[in-house]
Amino acid sequence: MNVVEWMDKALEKAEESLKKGEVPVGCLFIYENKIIATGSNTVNETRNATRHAELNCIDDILVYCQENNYNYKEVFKNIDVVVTVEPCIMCAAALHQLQIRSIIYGCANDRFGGCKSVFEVSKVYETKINVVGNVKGNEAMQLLKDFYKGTNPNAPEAKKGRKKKVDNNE
Amino acid sequence: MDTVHQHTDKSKDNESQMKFNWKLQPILPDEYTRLPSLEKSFIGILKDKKNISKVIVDLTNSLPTPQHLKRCSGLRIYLAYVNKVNGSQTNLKALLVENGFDISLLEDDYEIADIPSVAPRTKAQMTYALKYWPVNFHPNPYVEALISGSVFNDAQLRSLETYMKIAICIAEKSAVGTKDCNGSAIIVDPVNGNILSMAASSIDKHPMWHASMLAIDLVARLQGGGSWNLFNNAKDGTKIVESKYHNRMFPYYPECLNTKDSFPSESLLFKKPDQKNKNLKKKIDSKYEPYLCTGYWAILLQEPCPLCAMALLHSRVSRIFYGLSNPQTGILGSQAILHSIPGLNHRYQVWSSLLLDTCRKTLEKCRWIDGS
Repeated sequence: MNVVEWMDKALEKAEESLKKGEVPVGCLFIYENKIIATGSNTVNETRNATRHAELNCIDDILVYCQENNYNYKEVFKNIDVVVTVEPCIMCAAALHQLQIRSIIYGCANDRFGGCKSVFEVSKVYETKINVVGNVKGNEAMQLLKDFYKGTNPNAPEAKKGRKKKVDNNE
Repeated sequence: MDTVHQHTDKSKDNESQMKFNWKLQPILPDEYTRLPSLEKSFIGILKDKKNISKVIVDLTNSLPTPQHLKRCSGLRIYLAYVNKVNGSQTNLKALLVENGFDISLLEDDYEIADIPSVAPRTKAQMTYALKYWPVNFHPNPYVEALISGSVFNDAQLRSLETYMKIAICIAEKSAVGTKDCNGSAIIVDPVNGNILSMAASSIDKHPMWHASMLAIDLVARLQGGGSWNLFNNAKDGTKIVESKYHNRMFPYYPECLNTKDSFPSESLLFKKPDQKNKNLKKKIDSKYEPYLCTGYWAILLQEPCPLCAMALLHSRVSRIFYGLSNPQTGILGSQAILHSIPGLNHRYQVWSSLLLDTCRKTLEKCRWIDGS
Protein backbone atom coordinates (compact mmCIF):
# COMPACT_ATOMS: atom_id res chain seq x y z
CA MET A 1 0.00 0.00 0.00
CA ASN A 2 1.17 3.51 -0.66
CA VAL A 3 0.83 6.58 1.54
CA VAL A 4 -2.42 7.75 -0.05
CA GLU A 5 -4.03 4.34 0.33
CA TRP A 6 -3.01 4.27 3.98
CA MET A 7 -4.48 7.70 4.52
CA ASP A 8 -7.75 6.50 2.94
CA LYS A 9 -7.87 3.77 5.55
CA ALA A 10 -7.19 6.28 8.33
CA LEU A 11 -9.96 8.51 6.98
CA GLU A 12 -12.34 5.53 7.16
CA LYS A 13 -11.51 5.19 10.87
CA ALA A 14 -12.12 8.91 11.33
CA GLU A 15 -15.54 8.60 9.68
CA GLU A 16 -16.44 5.75 12.02
CA SER A 17 -15.65 7.89 15.05
CA LEU A 18 -17.69 10.77 13.64
CA LYS A 19 -20.71 8.43 13.55
CA LYS A 20 -20.08 7.61 17.23
CA GLY A 21 -20.11 11.28 18.14
CA GLU A 22 -16.38 11.49 18.71
CA VAL A 23 -13.98 14.01 17.21
CA PRO A 24 -13.24 12.43 13.81
CA VAL A 25 -9.58 11.50 13.87
CA GLY A 26 -8.33 8.18 12.56
CA CYS A 27 -4.94 6.62 12.93
CA LEU A 28 -2.90 3.61 11.75
CA PHE A 29 0.35 2.19 13.09
CA ILE A 30 2.31 0.47 10.35
CA TYR A 31 5.06 -2.07 11.00
CA GLU A 32 7.01 -3.80 8.26
CA ASN A 33 4.57 -2.42 5.71
CA LYS A 34 1.61 -3.94 7.54
CA ILE A 35 -1.11 -2.20 9.54
CA ILE A 36 -0.83 -3.62 13.07
CA ALA A 37 -3.12 -1.15 14.87
CA THR A 38 -5.95 1.17 13.94
CA GLY A 39 -7.54 3.66 16.26
CA SER A 40 -9.84 6.60 16.63
CA ASN A 41 -10.64 9.19 19.25
CA THR A 42 -12.62 7.79 22.25
CA VAL A 43 -12.67 10.83 24.54
CA ASN A 44 -16.42 10.89 25.05
CA GLU A 45 -16.75 7.14 25.47
CA THR A 46 -14.03 6.99 28.15
CA ARG A 47 -14.63 10.41 29.70
CA ASN A 48 -10.90 10.80 29.44
CA ALA A 49 -9.65 13.76 27.39
CA THR A 50 -6.38 12.00 26.63
CA ARG A 51 -7.90 9.11 24.68
CA HIS A 52 -6.79 10.26 21.27
CA ALA A 53 -6.47 7.90 18.30
CA GLU A 54 -2.68 7.66 18.68
CA LEU A 55 -2.80 6.68 22.35
CA ASN A 56 -5.41 4.04 21.61
CA CYS A 57 -3.11 2.60 18.93
CA ILE A 58 -0.17 2.61 21.35
CA ASP A 59 -2.17 0.44 23.77
CA ASP A 60 -3.02 -1.97 20.96
CA ILE A 61 0.63 -2.25 19.93
CA LEU A 62 1.60 -3.13 23.49
CA VAL A 63 -0.92 -5.96 23.46
CA TYR A 64 0.28 -7.03 19.98
CA CYS A 65 3.87 -7.17 21.26
CA GLN A 66 2.89 -9.10 24.35
CA GLU A 67 0.98 -11.65 22.29
CA ASN A 68 3.81 -12.09 19.81
CA ASN A 69 6.53 -11.95 22.42
CA TYR A 70 8.17 -8.92 20.78
CA ASN A 71 10.14 -6.25 22.58
CA TYR A 72 7.82 -3.24 22.23
CA LYS A 73 10.70 -0.77 22.32
CA GLU A 74 12.20 -2.33 19.20
CA VAL A 75 8.83 -2.51 17.44
CA PHE A 76 8.00 1.15 18.08
CA LYS A 77 11.35 2.21 16.60
CA ASN A 78 10.17 0.82 13.25
CA ILE A 79 6.61 2.11 13.36
CA ASP A 80 5.22 4.60 10.85
CA VAL A 81 2.18 6.49 12.12
CA VAL A 82 -0.49 7.58 9.64
CA VAL A 83 -3.03 9.95 11.19
CA THR A 84 -5.68 12.17 9.64
CA VAL A 85 -4.85 15.22 11.81
CA GLU A 86 -1.43 16.50 12.95
CA PRO A 87 -0.77 14.88 16.36
CA CYS A 88 -1.43 17.18 19.31
CA ILE A 89 1.38 18.15 21.69
CA MET A 90 0.55 15.23 23.99
CA CYS A 91 0.50 12.62 21.23
CA ALA A 92 3.60 14.02 19.55
CA ALA A 93 5.37 13.73 22.91
CA ALA A 94 4.21 10.12 23.28
CA LEU A 95 5.47 9.27 19.76
CA HIS A 96 8.82 10.93 20.50
CA GLN A 97 9.20 9.08 23.78
CA LEU A 98 8.55 5.80 21.94
CA GLN A 99 11.00 6.86 19.21
CA ILE A 100 8.76 5.86 16.35
CA ARG A 101 10.17 6.21 12.83
CA SER A 102 7.85 8.59 11.01
CA ILE A 103 4.57 10.50 11.15
CA ILE A 104 2.38 11.07 8.10
CA TYR A 105 -0.59 13.32 8.76
CA GLY A 106 -3.51 14.85 6.87
CA CYS A 107 -4.48 18.35 7.96
CA ALA A 108 -2.63 20.65 10.35
CA ASN A 109 -3.92 21.07 13.89
CA ASP A 110 -4.02 24.81 14.58
CA ARG A 111 -5.31 24.39 18.10
CA PHE A 112 -3.03 21.73 19.61
CA GLY A 113 -0.56 20.65 16.93
CA GLY A 114 2.69 19.29 18.34
CA CYS A 115 4.68 18.81 15.14
CA LYS A 116 4.72 22.39 13.95
CA SER A 117 1.44 24.26 14.40
CA VAL A 118 1.34 25.26 18.09
CA PHE A 119 4.50 23.87 19.70
CA GLU A 120 7.38 21.89 18.24
CA VAL A 121 7.68 18.96 20.62
CA SER A 122 10.79 17.75 18.75
CA LYS A 123 12.73 20.63 20.37
CA VAL A 124 12.40 18.87 23.74
CA TYR A 125 13.53 15.41 22.63
CA GLU A 126 16.80 14.13 21.24
CA THR A 127 15.02 11.73 18.90
CA LYS A 128 14.27 12.83 15.37
CA ILE A 129 11.09 11.70 13.66
CA ASN A 130 10.53 12.14 9.95
CA VAL A 131 7.27 14.13 9.55
CA VAL A 132 5.21 14.51 6.37
CA GLY A 133 2.07 16.64 6.43
CA ASN A 134 -0.84 17.49 4.16
CA VAL A 135 -1.61 14.05 2.77
CA LYS A 136 -5.30 14.30 1.82
CA GLY A 137 -5.51 17.18 4.26
CA ASN A 138 -8.72 18.60 2.78
CA GLU A 139 -10.65 15.36 3.40
CA ALA A 140 -9.48 15.23 7.01
CA MET A 141 -10.39 18.86 7.55
CA GLN A 142 -13.84 18.35 6.03
CA LEU A 143 -14.59 15.62 8.60
CA LEU A 144 -13.62 17.98 11.43
CA LYS A 145 -15.86 20.67 9.96
CA ASP A 146 -18.74 18.20 9.77
CA PHE A 147 -18.21 17.39 13.44
CA TYR A 148 -18.18 21.00 14.59
CA LYS A 149 -21.32 21.75 12.65
CA GLY A 150 -23.08 19.53 15.16
CA THR A 151 -23.08 19.87 18.92
CA ASN A 152 -20.90 17.63 21.05
CA PRO A 153 -23.59 15.40 22.63
CA ASN A 154 -21.41 14.67 25.66
CA ALA A 155 -20.56 18.21 26.66
CA PRO A 156 -22.32 19.27 29.88
CA GLU A 157 -25.66 21.04 29.57
CA ALA A 158 -24.19 24.47 30.32
CA LYS A 159 -21.74 24.26 27.49
CA LYS A 160 -24.10 23.16 24.78
CA GLY A 161 -25.10 25.65 22.20
CA ARG A 162 -21.82 27.49 22.39
CA LYS A 163 -20.68 25.83 19.22
CA LYS A 164 -17.70 28.03 18.64
CA LYS A 165 -16.23 27.02 21.97
CA VAL A 166 -16.82 23.28 21.72
CA ASP A 167 -13.61 21.48 22.57
CA ASN A 168 -11.67 20.02 19.72
CA ASN A 169 -10.28 17.18 21.82
CA GLU A 170 -7.52 16.46 19.37
CA MET B 1 16.92 34.28 31.84
CA ASP B 2 17.02 37.62 33.58
CA THR B 3 14.04 38.19 35.76
CA VAL B 4 12.98 41.34 37.47
CA HIS B 5 11.85 39.66 40.66
CA GLN B 6 15.37 39.71 41.98
CA HIS B 7 14.97 43.44 42.14
CA THR B 8 11.81 43.42 44.23
CA ASP B 9 11.82 44.45 47.82
CA LYS B 10 12.41 41.28 49.83
CA SER B 11 11.05 42.79 53.04
CA LYS B 12 7.62 42.74 51.45
CA ASP B 13 7.82 38.99 51.04
CA ASN B 14 4.56 37.50 52.17
CA GLU B 15 5.05 37.07 55.90
CA SER B 16 2.80 34.04 56.14
CA GLN B 17 5.13 32.08 53.94
CA MET B 18 7.85 32.49 56.54
CA LYS B 19 6.10 29.65 58.39
CA PHE B 20 6.95 27.33 55.53
CA ASN B 21 10.41 26.36 54.44
CA TRP B 22 9.34 26.61 50.81
CA LYS B 23 7.85 29.38 48.73
CA LEU B 24 5.51 28.87 45.82
CA GLN B 25 6.84 30.38 42.62
CA PRO B 26 4.23 31.33 40.05
CA ILE B 27 5.19 30.21 36.53
CA LEU B 28 4.13 33.24 34.57
CA PRO B 29 4.39 34.00 30.88
CA ASP B 30 7.62 35.71 29.88
CA GLU B 31 5.99 39.08 29.48
CA TYR B 32 5.51 39.25 33.27
CA THR B 33 8.99 38.18 34.29
CA ARG B 34 11.49 39.50 31.77
CA LEU B 35 13.20 42.86 32.05
CA PRO B 36 11.36 45.34 29.83
CA SER B 37 13.23 45.82 26.58
CA LEU B 38 14.74 49.19 25.75
CA GLU B 39 15.01 51.05 22.48
CA LYS B 40 17.22 53.97 21.50
CA SER B 41 15.16 57.12 21.17
CA PHE B 42 15.63 60.79 20.33
CA ILE B 43 15.08 63.12 23.27
CA GLY B 44 14.70 66.87 22.76
CA ILE B 45 15.75 69.34 25.46
CA LEU B 46 13.28 72.12 26.08
CA LYS B 47 14.90 75.60 26.11
CA ASP B 48 12.27 77.31 28.23
CA LYS B 49 10.12 75.52 30.82
CA LYS B 50 7.11 77.80 30.22
CA ASN B 51 6.63 76.38 26.71
CA ILE B 52 6.12 72.85 28.00
CA SER B 53 2.35 72.62 27.50
CA LYS B 54 2.58 74.12 23.99
CA VAL B 55 5.26 71.59 23.05
CA ILE B 56 3.21 68.70 24.44
CA VAL B 57 0.09 69.71 22.52
CA ASP B 58 1.95 70.38 19.27
CA LEU B 59 3.81 67.06 19.45
CA THR B 60 0.65 65.08 20.23
CA ASN B 61 -0.57 65.84 16.74
CA SER B 62 2.67 65.32 14.84
CA LEU B 63 4.50 62.60 16.81
CA PRO B 64 2.23 60.81 19.32
CA THR B 65 4.01 58.90 22.10
CA PRO B 66 3.56 55.14 22.48
CA GLN B 67 0.73 54.62 24.99
CA HIS B 68 2.96 53.45 27.82
CA LEU B 69 5.33 56.44 27.73
CA LYS B 70 4.91 59.88 29.23
CA ARG B 71 6.04 62.76 27.03
CA CYS B 72 8.35 64.56 29.43
CA SER B 73 10.97 63.81 31.99
CA GLY B 74 11.69 67.27 33.43
CA LEU B 75 12.84 69.36 30.48
CA ARG B 76 13.58 66.29 28.40
CA ILE B 77 10.97 65.59 25.74
CA TYR B 78 10.44 62.17 24.12
CA LEU B 79 10.40 62.58 20.34
CA ALA B 80 10.69 59.22 18.53
CA TYR B 81 12.42 55.85 18.45
CA VAL B 82 15.67 56.32 16.54
CA ASN B 83 14.72 53.48 14.16
CA LYS B 84 11.45 55.16 13.26
CA VAL B 85 13.35 57.98 11.59
CA ASN B 86 16.11 55.79 10.12
CA GLY B 87 18.52 56.89 12.82
CA SER B 88 18.74 60.39 11.45
CA GLN B 89 18.29 63.57 13.49
CA THR B 90 17.92 65.48 10.21
CA ASN B 91 15.01 63.24 9.16
CA LEU B 92 13.35 63.76 12.52
CA LYS B 93 13.70 67.55 12.28
CA ALA B 94 12.28 67.53 8.75
CA LEU B 95 9.35 65.47 9.97
CA LEU B 96 8.71 67.89 12.86
CA VAL B 97 8.86 70.94 10.60
CA GLU B 98 6.58 69.26 8.06
CA ASN B 99 4.02 68.82 10.83
CA GLY B 100 4.18 72.46 11.78
CA PHE B 101 6.22 72.01 14.95
CA ASP B 102 8.44 74.92 15.99
CA ILE B 103 11.80 73.19 16.41
CA SER B 104 13.38 76.35 17.78
CA LEU B 105 11.64 75.59 21.09
CA LEU B 106 14.13 72.74 21.57
CA GLU B 107 17.89 72.78 21.86
CA ASP B 108 19.46 72.17 18.47
CA ASP B 109 21.11 68.87 19.37
CA TYR B 110 18.91 65.92 20.39
CA GLU B 111 20.00 63.41 22.95
CA ILE B 112 19.84 59.66 22.24
CA ALA B 113 18.66 57.60 25.23
CA ASP B 114 17.43 54.07 26.08
CA ILE B 115 13.66 54.15 26.53
CA PRO B 116 11.40 51.22 27.59
CA SER B 117 9.81 49.90 24.39
CA VAL B 118 6.99 47.86 25.93
CA ALA B 119 4.44 48.63 28.62
CA PRO B 120 5.40 47.29 32.08
CA ARG B 121 3.06 44.50 33.26
CA THR B 122 4.19 44.34 36.90
CA LYS B 123 5.35 46.72 39.61
CA ALA B 124 8.83 45.26 39.37
CA GLN B 125 8.96 45.95 35.65
CA MET B 126 7.64 49.45 36.28
CA THR B 127 10.37 50.14 38.83
CA TYR B 128 12.91 49.03 36.26
CA ALA B 129 11.33 51.07 33.47
CA LEU B 130 11.26 54.20 35.64
CA LYS B 131 15.05 54.18 35.82
CA TYR B 132 14.94 55.05 32.12
CA TRP B 133 11.79 57.07 31.53
CA PRO B 134 8.45 57.95 33.17
CA VAL B 135 5.83 55.36 32.15
CA ASN B 136 2.10 54.91 32.49
CA PHE B 137 1.27 51.85 34.57
CA HIS B 138 -1.94 50.31 35.85
CA PRO B 139 -1.12 47.50 38.29
CA ASN B 140 -3.16 44.32 37.97
CA PRO B 141 -3.92 43.39 41.61
CA TYR B 142 -4.25 39.68 40.82
CA VAL B 143 -0.89 39.54 39.05
CA GLU B 144 0.73 41.37 41.96
CA ALA B 145 -0.85 38.90 44.41
CA LEU B 146 0.47 36.01 42.33
CA ILE B 147 3.97 37.45 42.40
CA SER B 148 3.97 38.27 46.11
CA GLY B 149 2.39 34.95 47.05
CA SER B 150 -0.52 36.53 48.90
CA VAL B 151 -3.00 34.83 46.59
CA PHE B 152 -3.03 31.86 49.02
CA ASN B 153 -3.74 32.03 52.74
CA ASP B 154 -1.97 29.94 55.38
CA ALA B 155 -4.66 27.29 55.50
CA GLN B 156 -4.50 26.79 51.76
CA LEU B 157 -0.72 26.59 51.81
CA ARG B 158 -0.94 24.05 54.63
CA SER B 159 -3.39 21.98 52.59
CA LEU B 160 -1.15 22.12 49.53
CA GLU B 161 1.73 20.97 51.71
CA THR B 162 -0.38 18.07 52.95
CA TYR B 163 -1.25 16.96 49.43
CA MET B 164 2.40 17.12 48.46
CA LYS B 165 3.42 15.07 51.49
CA ILE B 166 1.06 12.36 50.28
CA ALA B 167 2.46 12.66 46.76
CA ILE B 168 5.96 12.30 48.21
CA CYS B 169 4.90 9.24 50.17
CA ILE B 170 3.50 7.40 47.16
CA ALA B 171 6.43 8.41 44.96
CA GLU B 172 8.92 7.02 47.48
CA LYS B 173 7.01 3.78 47.70
CA SER B 174 6.34 3.05 44.08
CA ALA B 175 7.34 5.59 41.42
CA VAL B 176 9.27 4.12 38.49
CA GLY B 177 10.06 6.58 35.73
CA THR B 178 12.51 7.53 33.02
CA LYS B 179 14.80 10.51 32.69
CA ASP B 180 11.94 12.21 30.83
CA CYS B 181 9.34 11.91 33.54
CA ASN B 182 9.03 10.45 37.02
CA GLY B 183 7.17 11.11 40.25
CA SER B 184 3.58 11.14 41.39
CA ALA B 185 0.35 13.05 40.84
CA ILE B 186 -2.71 13.86 42.92
CA ILE B 187 -5.90 15.39 41.59
CA VAL B 188 -8.11 17.25 44.07
CA ASP B 189 -11.38 19.10 43.97
CA PRO B 190 -10.57 22.52 45.46
CA VAL B 191 -14.19 23.18 46.36
CA ASN B 192 -14.19 20.61 49.17
CA GLY B 193 -10.53 19.60 49.31
CA ASN B 194 -11.28 15.99 48.44
CA ILE B 195 -8.64 13.90 46.78
CA LEU B 196 -10.13 12.42 43.62
CA SER B 197 -7.25 10.25 42.52
CA MET B 198 -3.57 9.72 42.96
CA ALA B 199 -0.93 7.79 41.10
CA ALA B 200 2.77 7.15 40.89
CA SER B 201 4.71 6.91 37.68
CA SER B 202 4.67 3.24 36.57
CA ILE B 203 6.55 3.38 33.29
CA ASP B 204 8.06 -0.05 33.92
CA LYS B 205 4.59 -1.53 33.39
CA HIS B 206 3.44 0.59 30.44
CA PRO B 207 5.32 3.39 28.63
CA MET B 208 2.35 5.78 28.92
CA TRP B 209 1.74 5.20 32.61
CA HIS B 210 3.20 8.49 33.73
CA ALA B 211 1.76 9.67 37.04
CA SER B 212 -0.48 12.37 35.55
CA MET B 213 -1.78 10.05 32.83
CA LEU B 214 -2.80 7.49 35.44
CA ALA B 215 -4.36 10.07 37.75
CA ILE B 216 -6.43 11.45 34.85
CA ASP B 217 -7.67 7.99 33.88
CA LEU B 218 -8.64 7.32 37.49
CA VAL B 219 -10.77 10.47 37.53
CA ALA B 220 -12.39 9.32 34.28
CA ARG B 221 -13.16 6.03 36.05
CA LEU B 222 -14.91 7.93 38.85
CA GLN B 223 -17.14 9.45 36.19
CA GLY B 224 -18.04 6.05 34.74
CA GLY B 225 -15.32 5.99 32.09
CA GLY B 226 -11.63 5.22 32.12
CA SER B 227 -9.62 3.28 29.60
CA TRP B 228 -6.85 1.35 31.30
CA ASN B 229 -7.50 -1.95 32.93
CA LEU B 230 -5.86 -1.14 36.23
CA PHE B 231 -8.16 -3.20 38.42
CA ASN B 232 -7.18 -6.78 39.21
CA ASN B 233 -4.91 -7.11 36.27
CA ALA B 234 -3.93 -10.73 36.80
CA LYS B 235 -1.12 -10.59 34.28
CA ASP B 236 1.19 -8.43 36.28
CA GLY B 237 -0.44 -8.87 39.65
CA THR B 238 -1.19 -5.19 40.06
CA LYS B 239 -4.46 -3.81 41.17
CA ILE B 240 -5.97 -0.52 41.93
CA VAL B 241 -7.12 0.14 45.44
CA GLU B 242 -10.02 2.16 46.66
CA SER B 243 -8.49 3.65 49.74
CA LYS B 244 -10.24 4.94 52.77
CA TYR B 245 -8.53 8.10 53.80
CA HIS B 246 -10.13 10.95 55.65
CA ASN B 247 -13.36 8.94 55.49
CA ARG B 248 -13.44 9.09 51.76
CA MET B 249 -12.86 6.53 49.10
CA PHE B 250 -10.72 7.38 46.18
CA PRO B 251 -8.74 5.35 43.70
CA TYR B 252 -5.01 5.28 43.48
CA TYR B 253 -2.46 3.34 41.55
CA PRO B 254 -0.36 1.35 42.09
CA GLU B 255 -1.20 -0.22 45.42
CA CYS B 256 1.36 1.19 47.77
CA LEU B 257 -0.36 2.45 50.87
CA ASN B 258 -1.43 0.51 53.90
CA THR B 259 -3.09 1.30 57.17
CA LYS B 260 0.27 1.75 58.86
CA ASP B 261 1.01 4.80 56.73
CA SER B 262 0.59 7.87 58.83
CA PHE B 263 -0.48 10.74 56.71
CA PRO B 264 -0.58 14.29 57.96
CA SER B 265 -3.87 14.78 59.70
CA GLU B 266 -4.58 18.41 58.86
CA SER B 267 -7.95 19.06 57.37
CA LEU B 268 -7.87 19.06 53.62
CA LEU B 269 -10.84 21.34 53.35
CA PHE B 270 -10.06 24.53 51.55
CA LYS B 271 -13.23 26.26 52.50
CA LYS B 272 -16.20 24.90 54.38
CA PRO B 273 -19.17 25.65 52.17
CA ASP B 274 -21.80 27.51 54.16
CA GLN B 275 -25.47 26.73 53.66
CA LYS B 276 -25.96 29.47 51.11
CA ASN B 277 -23.02 28.30 49.06
CA LYS B 278 -24.13 24.71 49.42
CA ASN B 279 -27.45 25.46 47.82
CA LEU B 280 -25.76 27.44 45.13
CA LYS B 281 -23.33 24.61 44.56
CA LYS B 282 -26.16 22.09 44.26
CA LYS B 283 -27.72 24.28 41.66
CA ILE B 284 -24.46 24.56 39.78
CA ASP B 285 -23.71 20.83 40.15
CA SER B 286 -26.96 19.83 38.54
CA LYS B 287 -26.19 22.05 35.63
CA TYR B 288 -22.51 21.32 35.39
CA GLU B 289 -22.03 17.61 35.92
CA PRO B 290 -18.33 16.73 36.25
CA TYR B 291 -16.70 17.13 32.85
CA LEU B 292 -13.22 15.69 32.56
CA CYS B 293 -11.07 17.36 35.25
CA THR B 294 -12.61 20.80 34.80
CA GLY B 295 -11.79 23.05 37.75
CA TYR B 296 -9.68 20.47 39.57
CA TRP B 297 -6.16 21.03 40.86
CA ALA B 298 -3.17 18.78 40.18
CA ILE B 299 -0.29 18.36 42.63
CA LEU B 300 2.80 16.85 41.00
CA LEU B 301 6.14 15.86 42.47
CA GLN B 302 7.94 17.08 39.37
CA GLU B 303 7.32 19.48 36.52
CA PRO B 304 5.42 17.51 33.87
CA CYS B 305 6.85 16.36 30.54
CA PRO B 306 5.01 17.42 27.33
CA LEU B 307 2.87 14.26 27.44
CA CYS B 308 1.63 14.95 30.98
CA ALA B 309 1.41 18.74 30.67
CA MET B 310 -0.76 18.53 27.56
CA ALA B 311 -2.84 15.68 29.04
CA LEU B 312 -3.62 17.96 32.02
CA LEU B 313 -4.46 20.78 29.63
CA HIS B 314 -6.83 18.57 27.58
CA SER B 315 -8.39 17.52 30.88
CA ARG B 316 -8.94 21.16 31.81
CA VAL B 317 -7.44 21.23 35.29
CA SER B 318 -7.43 24.81 36.54
CA ARG B 319 -4.25 24.84 38.63
CA ILE B 320 -1.04 22.83 38.77
CA PHE B 321 1.40 22.82 41.70
CA TYR B 322 4.67 21.00 41.33
CA GLY B 323 7.70 20.60 43.54
CA LEU B 324 10.78 20.17 41.46
CA SER B 325 11.71 21.47 38.02
CA ASN B 326 12.33 19.00 35.21
CA PRO B 327 15.08 20.77 33.29
CA GLN B 328 15.29 18.17 30.52
CA THR B 329 11.71 17.82 29.33
CA GLY B 330 9.56 20.02 31.60
CA ILE B 331 7.39 22.43 29.63
CA LEU B 332 5.80 24.33 32.51
CA GLY B 333 8.78 26.59 33.09
CA SER B 334 11.96 24.74 32.04
CA GLN B 335 11.96 24.03 28.28
CA ALA B 336 8.86 26.11 27.59
CA ILE B 337 5.86 27.72 29.26
CA LEU B 338 3.02 25.74 27.71
CA HIS B 339 0.28 27.76 29.38
CA SER B 340 1.49 30.98 27.76
CA ILE B 341 1.53 29.68 24.18
CA PRO B 342 -1.09 31.53 22.17
CA GLY B 343 -3.79 29.51 20.43
CA LEU B 344 -4.42 26.84 23.06
CA ASN B 345 -8.09 26.59 24.01
CA HIS B 346 -7.58 26.21 27.76
CA ARG B 347 -5.13 27.71 30.19
CA TYR B 348 -4.24 26.62 33.66
CA GLN B 349 -2.23 28.46 36.27
CA VAL B 350 1.01 26.95 37.47
CA TRP B 351 3.19 27.19 40.57
CA SER B 352 6.49 25.47 41.30
CA SER B 353 8.63 24.83 44.40
CA LEU B 354 5.96 23.31 46.65
CA LEU B 355 8.05 21.47 49.28
CA LEU B 356 10.95 21.82 46.89
CA ASP B 357 13.76 20.34 49.02
CA THR B 358 11.81 17.28 50.09
CA CYS B 359 10.70 16.67 46.51
CA ARG B 360 14.31 16.80 45.36
CA LYS B 361 15.37 14.21 47.93
CA THR B 362 12.40 12.04 47.04
CA LEU B 363 13.15 12.07 43.34
CA GLU B 364 16.72 10.98 44.02
CA LYS B 365 15.30 7.95 45.81
CA CYS B 366 12.83 7.07 43.04
CA ARG B 367 13.47 4.15 40.74
CA TRP B 368 14.45 4.84 37.15
CA ILE B 369 14.45 2.77 34.03
CA ASP B 370 16.04 3.48 30.67
CA GLY B 371 13.39 5.14 28.55
CA SER B 372 14.90 4.31 25.19
